[in-house]
Amino acid sequence: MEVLKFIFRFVDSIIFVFGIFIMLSYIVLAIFSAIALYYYMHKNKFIDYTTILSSTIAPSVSILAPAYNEGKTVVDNVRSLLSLHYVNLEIIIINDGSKDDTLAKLIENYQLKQVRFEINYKIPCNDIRGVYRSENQAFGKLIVVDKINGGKADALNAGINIASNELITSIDVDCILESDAILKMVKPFVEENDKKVIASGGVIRVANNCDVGIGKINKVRFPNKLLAGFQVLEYSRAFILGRMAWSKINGLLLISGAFGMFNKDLVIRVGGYDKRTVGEDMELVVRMRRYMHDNKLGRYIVSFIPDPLCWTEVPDTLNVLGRQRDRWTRGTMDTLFMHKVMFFNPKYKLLGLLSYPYWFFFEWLAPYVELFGLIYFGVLVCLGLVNWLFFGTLLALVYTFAFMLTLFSIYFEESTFNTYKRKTDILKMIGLALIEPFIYHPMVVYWAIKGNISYFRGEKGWGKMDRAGFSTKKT
Amino acid sequence: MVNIPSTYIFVYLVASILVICMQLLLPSSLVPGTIKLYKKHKPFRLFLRLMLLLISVFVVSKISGVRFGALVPVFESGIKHLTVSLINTSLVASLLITMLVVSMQLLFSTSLLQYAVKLYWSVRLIRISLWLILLSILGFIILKFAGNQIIAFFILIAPEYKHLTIASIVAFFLLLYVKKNNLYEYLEVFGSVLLIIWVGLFGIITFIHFAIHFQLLEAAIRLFVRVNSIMWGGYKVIPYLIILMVLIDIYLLIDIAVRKVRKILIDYLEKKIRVSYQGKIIELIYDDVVDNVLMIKEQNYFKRVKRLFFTRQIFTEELLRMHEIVSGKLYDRIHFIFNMLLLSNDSHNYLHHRLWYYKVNGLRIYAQLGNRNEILYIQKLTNSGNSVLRSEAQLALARLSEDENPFGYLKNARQKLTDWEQINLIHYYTHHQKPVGDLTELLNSYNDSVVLFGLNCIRAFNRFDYRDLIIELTKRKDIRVKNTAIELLEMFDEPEIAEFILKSYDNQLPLSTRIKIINTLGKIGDNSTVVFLKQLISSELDLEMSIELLASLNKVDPQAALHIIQADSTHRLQRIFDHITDN
Repeated sequence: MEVLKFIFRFVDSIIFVFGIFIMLSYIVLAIFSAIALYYYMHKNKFIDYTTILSSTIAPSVSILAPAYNEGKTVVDNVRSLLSLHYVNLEIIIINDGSKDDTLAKLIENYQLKQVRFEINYKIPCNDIRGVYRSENQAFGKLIVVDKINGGKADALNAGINIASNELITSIDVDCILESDAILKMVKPFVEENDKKVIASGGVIRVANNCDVGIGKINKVRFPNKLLAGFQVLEYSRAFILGRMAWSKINGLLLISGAFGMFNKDLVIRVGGYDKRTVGEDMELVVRMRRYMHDNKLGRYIVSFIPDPLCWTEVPDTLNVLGRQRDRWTRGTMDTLFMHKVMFFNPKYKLLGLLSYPYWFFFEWLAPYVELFGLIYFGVLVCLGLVNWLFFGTLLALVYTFAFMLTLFSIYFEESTFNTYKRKTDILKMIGLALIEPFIYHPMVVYWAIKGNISYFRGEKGWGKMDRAGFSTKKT
Repeated sequence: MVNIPSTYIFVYLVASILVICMQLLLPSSLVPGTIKLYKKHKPFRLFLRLMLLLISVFVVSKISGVRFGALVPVFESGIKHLTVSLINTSLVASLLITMLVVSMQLLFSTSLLQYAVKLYWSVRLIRISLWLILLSILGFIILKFAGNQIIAFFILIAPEYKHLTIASIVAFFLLLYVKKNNLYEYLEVFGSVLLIIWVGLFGIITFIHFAIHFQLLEAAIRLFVRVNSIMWGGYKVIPYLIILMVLIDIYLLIDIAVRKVRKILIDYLEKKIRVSYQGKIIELIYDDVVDNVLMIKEQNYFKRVKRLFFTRQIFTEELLRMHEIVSGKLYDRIHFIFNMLLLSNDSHNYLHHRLWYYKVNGLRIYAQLGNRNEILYIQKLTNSGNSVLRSEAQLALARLSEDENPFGYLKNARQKLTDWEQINLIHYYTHHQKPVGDLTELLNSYNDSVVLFGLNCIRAFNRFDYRDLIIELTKRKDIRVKNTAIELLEMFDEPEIAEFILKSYDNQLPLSTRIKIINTLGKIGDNSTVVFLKQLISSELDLEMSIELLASLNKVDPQAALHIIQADSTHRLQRIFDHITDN
């Protein structure tokens, strides 16, 4: 009996300490994020991005947008990319063996014709069937690559082989970029001082229920559907509180595949995107960082821009969202296991001693601990060993903390970019923040556990991601 | 039992928090200031090192019991209370607190720690010394607290394990040797596995004996119970934490609401005030006379303007906006109004403010008004560690400089002149069509980024008068400088230049440099270039280089290109040529 009591006490303590550490880490991240945002907002007041437009010194950029069965929306999306403000830009759409009329629509709408193109396969990828350019000078920046299906990573690698510019920007073709997105993403590269900028990431915003014009967001509105609304809060916390803070201490491990800019030479040197994983975006950044350490290539940073530059449609049904989260979990696990040598390895400095362990314990293990906690709680209830007053107190602590954290991200959002101008949108965000811990969070934990199971069962692939497309929304 | 006098911990924590807060809030904070002092003044460096040495000597002497005090009697009384506090506070507790402070400093990226870490990683001797010191201190502690017991343990187990111990140690080193030299195939997998099991088992058995002898399990359980009781004892604080968080939530909610309303109000007010000030300023500057009489007449109006920072700021902005678009007498009138209203005090305060974004505002006002009073201070700011401040100071100097050589301050530039700064400067001079003066000093700078800027200016402003310097710069080590210089030589369509570039080609050069050479030859090449390019094409396997070579050859001599394509039996060159044509 004493032994049992000791075991229960031990388990209680482990869970409690884990929870305290997570809370403390979020507080620290929030503080760093506040500092970073404060500096960024003040700095941004004095920047005139248009000076980059007319400069011959500014680096050249290639936008890589893999497309698979995007026939419904690809024409509008490409039009939006062609209207981006940047001088030395090429846009490469990689048709990854689409089964629909993606390629046909592009050829028809942009007067494309196949060109003779000698491809330098610097990074291995599936065979490229053809390269297309427009006969119309107005679309001179556009290159379309048609290849055999190989997945997103393979498509991006094909794009890198075709790209001729210094920087590459990987985006999802169904994302809408702000017209000055490239200017803002390029800025860290031109500001490079004693630290080499190897990659730059941007914030992804939720475009559900927004007024979308031809390739641009006319009016921002909070999503109507509950799931999409929860994701607004989640993205806000992840980007503004999380990535901004990690970027500040140069510990950022992840740049969204939906919008990220990279040094092309370095990407080629590390071997491009890894086809074996579904989390190719995170894996690439980790590999690039690791490469810099392993080869002692000097100090470097992975930058992050908190401006809302990229808008995407998030899943608003349980099935699709579940598949997405399943994939994200598998991607995270792939990356963590592929680079396990970094775990608490002082050779990788902050990366190995802080960033990687954080992801390992608080991003990967946290759902396990939560699930175990729930099961353990059930056992204690059955055994009648729960101190209900104490339980209530702890529950109140955790709930208040979660709400406070979300409120902080809303507060930072309001005091910086003020994306949601309508009062009703703010009220919706606050209202959702109140119920999120009970409704959305358990689903996220469930999908994370499911992702783990899928991973250990050896499941690969993206699953079917159904999208309504922007063109069917209000204009 | 650990005895921790709470006052020392309190003082330690407060001092650490204070230092960290100062570093967070103050740009020219304590630690960078101390480091600056340390770097500049030798006596200060010597003093600090001596202090560190003495503290180390006293700590070691107290732990080891060796009396070093006799050697340094003069300092013993002076730092006695420091060593006493260190000893009394229990070394373990001090080390733990130091680790906490160091971790916090790591997270807040203080320059002192960065400097120390940089030193640690770059100088091997320091690393070895630090590790030796650490091991010695650890050794002292272990020997002091458990020395006798450890010796007793080994005496106890020695008779039983003497032979096994020696064999296991030998086996362990054998395993290490095998692993290091990949000799598994010689030792056979089976043998390696046996070795691993033997060493592993021996290690486990020894550890179990060790654990039983020193009652480690009981100690672990006691420690866990103790820590646990402290931890769960703290649950009383939870309701207060909840209340605190609720209060924070209420504050945030109110602030969000207030911000929304305030923004609407401020926008409305600002619009209204701005329109009224625009009208007033136009009225004032287009008046027949703008003098002291006028100012006295409008005193009440200006009193209202000057009363609030918000209104003063808008008035200043409108004055400066008007300043941009007028000229001649009206220009002087605006200056008069600006000075009479003492708005220059604001700009001076901004420029000398401790916060960088106020300084930037000050720089912009000084630059816009052409006020050269603080030009020396602005020149100093061009070496600031803050990139925005540096860039703005450069732009301000660009506006204020009456020098024939406006970039003279760059010859002493310690910081890298980033591409962003270069873009801004070139954009300013292009947009305002101002002369950039003599670029010789820039091109001769030791700072590669300044040289690169000079080259970019040559390109942007079509300065053909630096031919020889550009040629010299093609030999510079920095790749970007080299490549830009080579690229710029295409401005000079001379046979000697083509010959020079041709001779500078070397297969050992980086790919980007070789491509630049080929590209430039393609634009200014002649017959000797054709021969050279043909030779390279036939031996070049890299696709990117082949494309550049063939493209350049085609530009210099299309016939020669056609000939070499037809001569290629593999049709590789034909495919490359098709690629060049279509793209």
